[in-house]
Amino acid sequence: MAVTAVVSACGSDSDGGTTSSASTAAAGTSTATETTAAAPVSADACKGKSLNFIGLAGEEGEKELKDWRAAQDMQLKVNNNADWGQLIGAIKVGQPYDLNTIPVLEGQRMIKAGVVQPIDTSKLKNWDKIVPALRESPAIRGEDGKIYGVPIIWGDGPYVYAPDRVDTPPTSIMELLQPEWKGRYTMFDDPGLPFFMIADAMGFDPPNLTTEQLGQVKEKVKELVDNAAAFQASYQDATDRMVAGDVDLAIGGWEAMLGFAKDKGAKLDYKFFDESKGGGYFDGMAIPSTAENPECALAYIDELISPEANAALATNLTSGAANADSVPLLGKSAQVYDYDLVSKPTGGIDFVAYYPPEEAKDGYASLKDWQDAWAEVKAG
Amino acid sequence: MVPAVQLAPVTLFYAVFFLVPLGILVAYSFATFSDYQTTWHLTFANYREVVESDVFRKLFVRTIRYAAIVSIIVIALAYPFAYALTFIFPRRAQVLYFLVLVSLFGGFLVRVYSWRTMLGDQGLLNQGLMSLGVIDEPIKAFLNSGYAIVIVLVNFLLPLGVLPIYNAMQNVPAGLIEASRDLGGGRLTTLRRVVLPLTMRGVAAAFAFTFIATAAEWVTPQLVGGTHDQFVGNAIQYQFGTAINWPLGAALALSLIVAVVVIVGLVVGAVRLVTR
Repeated sequence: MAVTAVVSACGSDSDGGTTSSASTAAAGTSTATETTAAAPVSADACKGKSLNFIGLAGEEGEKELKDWRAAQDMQLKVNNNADWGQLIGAIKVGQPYDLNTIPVLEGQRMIKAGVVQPIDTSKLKNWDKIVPALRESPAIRGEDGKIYGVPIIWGDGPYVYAPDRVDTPPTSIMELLQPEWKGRYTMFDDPGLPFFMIADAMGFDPPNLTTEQLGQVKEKVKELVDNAAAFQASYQDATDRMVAGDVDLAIGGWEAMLGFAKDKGAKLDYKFFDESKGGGYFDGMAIPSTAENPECALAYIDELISPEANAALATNLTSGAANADSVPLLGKSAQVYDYDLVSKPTGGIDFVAYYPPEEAKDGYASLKDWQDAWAEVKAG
Repeated sequence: MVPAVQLAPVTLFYAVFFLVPLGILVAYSFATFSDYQTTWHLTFANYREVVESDVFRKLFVRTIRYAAIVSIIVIALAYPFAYALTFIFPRRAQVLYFLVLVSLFGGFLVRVYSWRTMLGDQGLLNQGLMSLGVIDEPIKAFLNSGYAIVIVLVNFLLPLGVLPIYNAMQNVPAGLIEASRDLGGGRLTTLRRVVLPLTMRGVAAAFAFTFIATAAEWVTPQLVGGTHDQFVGNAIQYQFGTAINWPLGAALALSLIVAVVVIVGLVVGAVRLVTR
């Protein structure tokens, strides 16, 4: 049913390419790049070229587009970033990358920092097949209305736990503040998720918190961090810690961790906190402002969101496919997502922004306030 | 060939790979960060934040405390080892010295993860104590704690402590040792009144190596420390990474460099004063 819903949501406007559903459904976000006719980008743009990618491991399509690259006689150099600041910094100082990951939560930061360039989606043959919730997302649109990223995969925001040691999985993040959870879970060294979820549990409206509310939330987050065993360095690190039996739960979770654990002979499971509101993420591909081969990068992105390649990518990453036509082609490991959640521009999965803006309204806490509060929490 | 010409390659290397990066760091530390952008409006605001922030003060105190603890433990272990190598097992000294050097070749991360395996709930230490009946359930404080940070760093930095102390002991004239014994000095007296004063500069060098290496750490606290065991290095990494606030990160880095240079300078100076 989920598959049908998403295919029907996209299939009707997939024949043209000049008037996309993006321009009809996302009120106020239509741009010249979406509505102006342009010749589709050709794979020939990559003949003999080399693309330099920076971003998340496995999302660059190294495996999935191996044959395609060979046919174009092109090379792909893969660089993985440790964190988003590093990626932004690398491009800002002028390092010549042609492709980069643009995650939903960092989209606006990358756009405002000027590290990615607008994308002419009318040149993408597969753009209209992108599921509406991703295609219409404001996260990849700049204030100029232009589109700066092409979604490739998506997912939700679960926590992952060891079922043999957690009899009753928590329903609220507030349960982790109890003494019985002391030293039993890991979390990322990042204020977004804990501040957002605890603020929501306290009845506030994150990420719009007054400075007074932020102070109250900070005290609870401090309890959460006090109870945590450690900060996880990565999803793999959190998996390793659970497999070793050192912790029982990872707040920052990903369904793929179940596969990582299975490879090591262990069983993990996942659930959602009520406060995550079904919140999720999507990652896209963007073209850095320093790109030396932007036309080839565009062709590569178009191929990456083709039905077959995108299905393979989503399967390998245990993620949701961005292309609706990829859904029937998904492998078993990736058939864990409800595509009804992304079949409409809004109202399904909530790709929430966990962070407040850099410049907040008077009386409200800014991103710097959150980061300072996080630093205080960690200092102990 | 004139000395200046002979020194030119080294000077050039030093300038390009040390002074220039340091200069860039200094420049960034006075820059302004706003709206995700670094601008070249020069300011002392970053240093003011480093000095006035309670958070950063805690991190500096913690970092220096751990650096001192690790250095003292390393020296306490390295000195007897180097002494044994030099004066008790001189025939096996080369083999043992080689083993010390070999331990430096091991990958740092491999060792950190090995320790994590040993210190964890299912690790050698906890399971050993449980099988002996000493404890009923795993002690979680072995891992994700300050203890774990100290254990890992002492293990990794021990060779850096042994090498300068061993080298210093090689320079102790055998005649002085013999003279001490001829005058009735036992092994302990000779150690205290002859060997120790003559090897204090090696001890100072060992302190400097281990103190600097520990103070600059951020990986070990991340991988085996708890959520409240972060060092200044973690804050620097956070500012350069997640927060992309390079000016504040640069100010933190330079403040740490200054703090470490002052402390090491004081210790080395004190040693020179005492042993003059």
